[in-house]
Amino acid sequence: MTGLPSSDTAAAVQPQRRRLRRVRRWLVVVLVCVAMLGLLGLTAVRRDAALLLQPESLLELMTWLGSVLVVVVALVGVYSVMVDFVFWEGWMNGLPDPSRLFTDGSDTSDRHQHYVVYLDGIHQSEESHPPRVSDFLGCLQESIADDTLLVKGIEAYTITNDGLRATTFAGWFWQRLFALQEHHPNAVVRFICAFCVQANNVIKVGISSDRRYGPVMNYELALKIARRLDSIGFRPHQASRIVLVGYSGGGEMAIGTAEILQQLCRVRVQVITICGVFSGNGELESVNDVAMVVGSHDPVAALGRIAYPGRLSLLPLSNWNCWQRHHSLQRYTIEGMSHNGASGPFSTAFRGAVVQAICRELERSELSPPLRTPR
Amino acid sequence: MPDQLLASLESMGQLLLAMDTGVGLMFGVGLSMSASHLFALLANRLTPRQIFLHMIVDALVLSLAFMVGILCHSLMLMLLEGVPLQPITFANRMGAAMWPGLFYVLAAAPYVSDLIAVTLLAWIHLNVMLLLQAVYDVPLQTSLVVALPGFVLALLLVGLLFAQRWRTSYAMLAREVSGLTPP
Repeated sequence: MTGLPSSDTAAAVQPQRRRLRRVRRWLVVVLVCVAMLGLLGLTAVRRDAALLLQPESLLELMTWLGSVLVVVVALVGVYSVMVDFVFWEGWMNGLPDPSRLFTDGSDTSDRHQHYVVYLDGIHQSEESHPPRVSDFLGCLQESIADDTLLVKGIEAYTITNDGLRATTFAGWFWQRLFALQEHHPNAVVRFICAFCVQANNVIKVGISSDRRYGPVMNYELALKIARRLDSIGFRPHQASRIVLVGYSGGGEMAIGTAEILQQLCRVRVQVITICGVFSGNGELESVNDVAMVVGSHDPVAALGRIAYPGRLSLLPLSNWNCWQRHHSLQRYTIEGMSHNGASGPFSTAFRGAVVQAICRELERSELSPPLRTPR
Repeated sequence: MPDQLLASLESMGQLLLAMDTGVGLMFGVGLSMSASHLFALLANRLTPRQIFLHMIVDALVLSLAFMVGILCHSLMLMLLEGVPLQPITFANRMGAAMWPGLFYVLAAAPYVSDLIAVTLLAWIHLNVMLLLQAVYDVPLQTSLVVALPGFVLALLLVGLLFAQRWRTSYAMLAREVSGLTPP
């Protein structure tokens, strides 16, 4: 056995022991400091939490939150406008040339005369509709005449033909958000997802009803609808009319695009809103037929009248009231119907009544005068 | 509660008085107001030169509105409180009241723009009233009377400018869309 004598070994171990003792001492000091800081922090947090619950602090917090919300909403709105303008200004390949629409003069095999275009509410995030809406559309399809074609799956809140996933700048955000929803389908994620989609679409409704930006947004959407109609065989000389059916915020998009779509497609366009939330700011001068299917218990549509004061009779010179003086607005009130859910227009309880109202309006307006020459 | 409100308004007035803002604030407010128009001008596919010209006209009308407001306030102050007519001194003292105008660019937001614009303009008006109280010792009720005519006049000018812009925008856009649609 080789080794050092015991006195030498002890001498060699001593510095190690001393170092270990020093480290241990420092460790204790650090731990005590951390514990003290933690205690102080806890006290501060408790004190702050107690302060936060004071009415003055809550008021201040609410003021700050409100201010931040206003700024964020305004910035998101401006961003949303800019995304629409990107195409209008001719960037990102610009918008398709409308003069190339329906240029194929030949008759198509499509023998439909009336085209009912469905524009969904603000919950829409992609071209496909939720099951309840799909069932409703199936019911509508069965009830309309054979010479009428129901066009569905148009995303009313994007300019491109794809849903939110494929939007130009924010596509990555929506892709990640929807992927998160697919992988973690819990209530919180679903709520965040629905909130983001609806907030985005509400802003689009706001843009459509805005006096400054609305015309651009409405033109872009009208062009998108016209291109879709072109692709399914719509030809102006064969068709008789286009009917825009808009649910909730889709009502605003329908009213906003009606006149421009009439110019693009060169046939009469009429509008039917279901529980519509719309401003009435859209140009409707040459649109003869507008009908509203409303629920007697619809709080959202009632709120829409306040959010869009132009529809109140207090402002007789507003665009909507001027239109009403020269045209008759058809109203179909359904007793007990709400805005959505189990008592909404797509519920089994009210689906039939809504479809019936739409069919009645389609029959009534079939005899309306033909297209007046647009300005 | 009313006493508390009055006290907080008075402290706001003192705070405004302590703000030494100078010309930079006016420049910032003017820039913010012009920028709020920029997005609407983009809707008409104007060239950068045309946009610049429009913004110059906007800035001139906004300056005119500001001057008319200041002149009116000074006149009212002289008539009601006997303060000598000194519009430049008055403008120097009232400059800080304009700070909410820095956020006027937010009026570019769709649909809520009117609400934002009215709120900011009302806030500026409140600031003018508070400064009148802090600088000239005019009670709030009287300062409302002093500041109202000038504010209404300035608002009318700004309103006319904005309405004219919208009409022009509509006309241009309608022409463009008509030009785009097939015959």
